Amino acid sequence: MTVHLAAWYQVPLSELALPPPLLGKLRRADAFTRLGVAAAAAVLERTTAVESEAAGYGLILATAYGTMETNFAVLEQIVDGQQTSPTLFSHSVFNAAAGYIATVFGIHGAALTLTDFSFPFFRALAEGAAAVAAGNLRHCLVLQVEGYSELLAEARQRLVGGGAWPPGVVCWLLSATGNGPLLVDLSLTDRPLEPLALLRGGERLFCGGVGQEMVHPLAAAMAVTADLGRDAMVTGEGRAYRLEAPWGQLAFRLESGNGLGPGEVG
Amino acid sequence: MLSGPVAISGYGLVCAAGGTALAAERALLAGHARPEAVGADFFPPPFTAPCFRVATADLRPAVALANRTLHLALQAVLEALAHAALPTAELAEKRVGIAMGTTVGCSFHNEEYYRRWRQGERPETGPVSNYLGANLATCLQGLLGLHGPRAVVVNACASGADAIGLAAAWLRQGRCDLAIAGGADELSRVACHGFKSLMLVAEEPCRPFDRQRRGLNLGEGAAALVLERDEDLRARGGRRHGRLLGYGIAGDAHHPTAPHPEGRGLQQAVGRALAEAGLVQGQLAMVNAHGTGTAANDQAECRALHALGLADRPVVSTKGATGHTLGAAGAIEAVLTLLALRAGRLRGTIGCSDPDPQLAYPVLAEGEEVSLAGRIGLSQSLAFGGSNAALIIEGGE
Repeated sequence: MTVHLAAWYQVPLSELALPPPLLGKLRRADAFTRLGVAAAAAVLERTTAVESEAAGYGLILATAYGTMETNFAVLEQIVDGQQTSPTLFSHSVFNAAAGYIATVFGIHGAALTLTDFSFPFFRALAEGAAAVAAGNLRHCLVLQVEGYSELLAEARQRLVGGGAWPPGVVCWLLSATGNGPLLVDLSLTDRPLEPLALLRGGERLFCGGVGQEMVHPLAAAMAVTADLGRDAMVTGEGRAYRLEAPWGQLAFRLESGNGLGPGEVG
Repeated sequence: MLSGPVAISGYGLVCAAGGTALAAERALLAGHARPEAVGADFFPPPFTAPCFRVATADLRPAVALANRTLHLALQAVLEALAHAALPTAELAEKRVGIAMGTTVGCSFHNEEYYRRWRQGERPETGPVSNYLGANLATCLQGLLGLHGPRAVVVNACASGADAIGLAAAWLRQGRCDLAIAGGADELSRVACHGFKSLMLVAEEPCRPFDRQRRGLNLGEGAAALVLERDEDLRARGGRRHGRLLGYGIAGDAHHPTAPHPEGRGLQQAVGRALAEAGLVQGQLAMVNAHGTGTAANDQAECRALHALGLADRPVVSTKGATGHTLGAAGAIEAVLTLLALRAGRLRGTIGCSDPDPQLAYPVLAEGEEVSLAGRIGLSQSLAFGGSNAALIIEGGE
């Protein structure tokens, strides 16, 4: 079975504008959850209604740093001897955003949240593609959400230099059928991970022999998504991507799916 | 091979009931529960509640590790590998997947660092480096010299079950030769304060499914399974202790923390697990419920089981002996389910002396014991975010 990219979306937190219908549903949600739900909304509005096959939809949300700011908000209350807010606590759990996405859009299939400091989006992409290829899901949202935190930014500045990373989200919708580009031959190899290397960065994304330095943990997924937004028509032998990092490497190709995908860069 | 059973060739377990799978099984059969009263170290004073901590004597010495969650995980994984007769040197020659569930183990919870940083100090950055080096799957890959797919599943209290389901999928998809899967979580102040804020913590030993149930007790622990394709296990002359026949996952799409009152997602998860296993409800000999002891959880589970037509199957919760171990719970309960199926008998729910007649389903109470009518059982997990996971397990002879 083939795996198509049916839609895609990315947006930094600084440019996030929630659609009015979501405002009420997300009034208590943190930035992490808002990013996830907004991206899912942007992608799903370009495809078939979830209600028609709710059980065929699933989602895999990946994150390197998770709900750090909300976690620290809980920690602050504990350190100060204040009563812990149940709302903050329930939003500090890493899968809170996935739960919101499932609830808001009525997704009844698998909803997995995964965390890894290395290639989180592409690990989730591998799992989502495998689930669709195996026929376990008809459609799978794959997201990477990063909120980071001021504490992390300050520690990074002291340890390796450099400014704060921009929070944001990338979301792709994979489908078993459609006209969007085909995702093929995704492979990933890990190397031993040195913690400070994560803060230094050092990912380089290659496409067509040209390499670009990726300057934050969402950058590679955003760069590929931006490519799709500029030119979703994958022709000929397709477009081959390779991502090299101190902690491993990955490669995949996008081939013609006989049509132009409906994705959009936020 | 995109479907079909996966062999369980090894298992390991550490929790408050015991430092090994065998010790925990014996404690469970004997009806032993060892919660300890925990106060201001973990809960906001003056609140005190029983918690299920792993006894120091049960935690084997290890090299310096990033945190207690990793220590617990490593102990369970090493027991599982020893049980599977797989020396770590042999693993280097295989593609070994590792999928672990956790909740506490993925967050930066260093209060001292946070407090000093917030005050404008520049605390020594060791805790940040420690956090960056503490991803469970990455650490276990490094410690054991593994290469293959890896995942840390953070699906709250269903994480351990989902990690096992994910690892089985890797084997079926041919993405690895062998997989280690489970979950681990240490007792944490954030979880204790958080569950207390949700008014879900009982101030007495928990009583899953009991008329007088008052909530859950938190716990800590880890469990791991070694999973292999049947043909690979036969080829290396390994012993099959059981099989994972099916896995299902489904969302309630209902509420951030509360389960759907009818266990809607749970019913779907169990249905999917049964479909993957090619079984019907009547072939299940037992159910190991999530059974936290909270009003909403126990009611949703019982309604789901009733709706699924499992009315005459014995149902238990093991949390009266282990506490609620969050990201480890699904894996711990998978191992305990396997052990009960292998033994062919099931002991009643510790803490449930007066089953709640309001529940739509009768459960096996404390002190009761039944011989199982078959070797296939269901272990189910519910989680924040409305996630539900179901594992169908067959016990070997």
